[in-house]
Amino acid sequence: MSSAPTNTEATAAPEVTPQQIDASCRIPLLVIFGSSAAWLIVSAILSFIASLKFHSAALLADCPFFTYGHVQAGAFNTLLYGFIAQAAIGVMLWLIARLGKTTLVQGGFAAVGAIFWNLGVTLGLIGIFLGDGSGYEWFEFPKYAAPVLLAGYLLMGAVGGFTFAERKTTELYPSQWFLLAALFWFPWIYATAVALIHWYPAVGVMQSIVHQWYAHNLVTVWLGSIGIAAVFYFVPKISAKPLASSNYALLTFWFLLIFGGMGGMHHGMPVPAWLPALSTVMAFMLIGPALAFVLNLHWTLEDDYSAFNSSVTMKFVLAGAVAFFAGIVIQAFGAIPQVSDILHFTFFTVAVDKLMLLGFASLVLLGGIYYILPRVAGVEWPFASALKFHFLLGITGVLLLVLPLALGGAQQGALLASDTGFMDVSSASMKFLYISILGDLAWLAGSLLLLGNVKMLVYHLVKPLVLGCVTDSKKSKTREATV
Amino acid sequence: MNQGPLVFLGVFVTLVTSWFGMIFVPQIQVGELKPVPAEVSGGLYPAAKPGVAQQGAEVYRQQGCYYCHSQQVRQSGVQFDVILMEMGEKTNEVAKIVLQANPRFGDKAVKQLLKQLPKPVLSGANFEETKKTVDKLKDAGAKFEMQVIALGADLNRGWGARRTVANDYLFERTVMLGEQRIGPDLTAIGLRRPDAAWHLNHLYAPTTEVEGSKMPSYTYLFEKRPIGRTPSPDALKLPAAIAPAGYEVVPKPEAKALVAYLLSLKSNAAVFEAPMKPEPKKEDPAAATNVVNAASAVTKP
Repeated sequence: MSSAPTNTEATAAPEVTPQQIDASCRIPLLVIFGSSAAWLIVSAILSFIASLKFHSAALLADCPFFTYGHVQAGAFNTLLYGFIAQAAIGVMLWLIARLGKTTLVQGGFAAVGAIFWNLGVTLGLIGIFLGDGSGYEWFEFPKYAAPVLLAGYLLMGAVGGFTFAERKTTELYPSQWFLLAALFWFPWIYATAVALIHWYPAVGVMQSIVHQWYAHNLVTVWLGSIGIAAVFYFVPKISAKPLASSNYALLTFWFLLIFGGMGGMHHGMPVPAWLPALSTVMAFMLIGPALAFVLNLHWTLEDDYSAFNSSVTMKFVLAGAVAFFAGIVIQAFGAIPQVSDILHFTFFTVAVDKLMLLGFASLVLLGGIYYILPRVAGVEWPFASALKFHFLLGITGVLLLVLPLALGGAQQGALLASDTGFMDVSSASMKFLYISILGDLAWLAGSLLLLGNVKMLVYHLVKPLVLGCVTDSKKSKTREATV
Repeated sequence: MNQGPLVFLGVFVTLVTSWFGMIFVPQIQVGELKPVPAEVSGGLYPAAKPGVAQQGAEVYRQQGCYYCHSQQVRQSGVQFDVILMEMGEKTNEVAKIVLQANPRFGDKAVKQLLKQLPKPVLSGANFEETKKTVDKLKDAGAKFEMQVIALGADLNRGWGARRTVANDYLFERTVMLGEQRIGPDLTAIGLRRPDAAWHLNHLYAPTTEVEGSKMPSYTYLFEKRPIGRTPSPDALKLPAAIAPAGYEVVPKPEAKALVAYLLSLKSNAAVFEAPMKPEPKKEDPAAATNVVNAASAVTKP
């Protein structure tokens, strides 16, 4: 049970090779990762425009489509659904196939599902620009985009589910527990939110409760599960050391699900007082599984952190793991009523969101994409040297976004609690927002490197097919992809 | 051993627990709230918004106003004032109790104080202190009133008459509590800024009304047209610097609806759950930093 993927793969049944598994994932994962790289750029550009608007409110002000409320919503939702969720599903499908030592079952359906998903994200973004946003942060896609997204997920999720059922291994590796949970968690929470906000709107603040529950589950449990599954796969795999403790992984798993599932309401919400109180307790309890998670990684790599330098994927996933732990701890302390009174409603909450979405989810998934895509495509990264630059830009971007926003938010909260005039509070935040623009730019630059690489990779893959040149195609397929 | 089904079952139970605890139970508790008889006016609270304000709520959502404005007032604690109304028969005993509560007054001062009732005998006290005094006064047969004073930065800013409660949002199709306060909280904007013309000017050109405002202008909610023979009565009265010569700026229906919505935002009805502050002071543009002094509605013990 505690065996690392490296060990279990040595005893794999000879009939399915990793190459065959990768080949079965080729079409769906090219669609999924290709489009998520494109959405990453869209979100980074929108986020950059939104940041600029703080400094020049007149920017694009005459165009109703690009008012701040639309651009910011567009940036958040394309990041969350276009890039993060889509890439997470891609990583999930590949891990399910690889860890189950079986080819992807009916991968074509996953590709169709991905097309639906992208259609849903596109519809959602257009809807936001047209003013059809739902009014709930992170859940802005309008009523008509939701069924398309859900259909897309059900197709991809079904492929994941059937592939999981077809697994050739009897014992489950820890990552597989997380993946199994993730497979079912998303459709349940998303369908609940769609039903109670769009289809049969709940009365009054019940909608806010549903919204907070959904957003918290989405990031902490769903993205948390897939992210941790990926880290538990890549770290032992790349360092060639078995995961230190499967008991600790088990603890991380159950407590993440149990505590993570009950939270998200902040102090002072106009809801029954036990909801924020329970959420605060659960926010603290989550430190346990998060600590077990990072300790497990530390024990795995204890003797030798050299793998960190040898692989870009290792760098991405370890940075993501640290961000996850930091995010959980900060959220716990931010949930204390007296602290929440000061910090909630400030840029501090944005900083925590960015830490979880960019620092944790995005970095881990980028590490996954950089590892998986060349293998499933059978083509090496055309600009291999760009990978480490993307890592540097990504880390810089996360730090330059999270730190200034957290500090600026703390100052904003302290000033709001004092008798400083509102406009003075507002102008005091500006210098922090200036620095965060640099973060946006670094993140955008890194994202461009990924897109450029993916574009050239697809070009290298498609060129021989288009030319009909068989010899070229053979050559590129036999090239061993390494990161 | 095939652990798949076991893990699946565990995941399923956990997911159901989360859903049951955080969705189903709250739905039973607040999902079927109804308007309640208002404590002061005697009508039902909340009342449905007028149609045009409801349309305005849609505009508020469409433009993403909730990205910068919250609609939620929080309270961080309470204090109590006790006001003695009548001494009753056991005057000496009551005087002793008042002296115990205010040792620094001294015997004489207390007697002087109690000559002209009603008088506050306890102010800004915490719960334990208040309860002790109130219990004693009750036993002594004195008549008194207790005031609950809500504390909190949001209340000090005059952003609301009290903390917001679930019932305030009963008729909102979309509940936009907000995530950030890049702009001020709008829970009671209808009380702080009751002037529709101010709101229209502010939406058209925010900096004319609030210096240094970061709010984008919503010019596209207005129509700029040549002034005809009879100028529109709706036309904005803009400062000369930005008024376009020969043109008038007339709000489109969306702008009017949005303002009607903003003016409808009050959340000032007295409710059982939350102690009140008096009506927030109207905001004076010159002094946006009004701090409303603590005082509160009277609640009988």
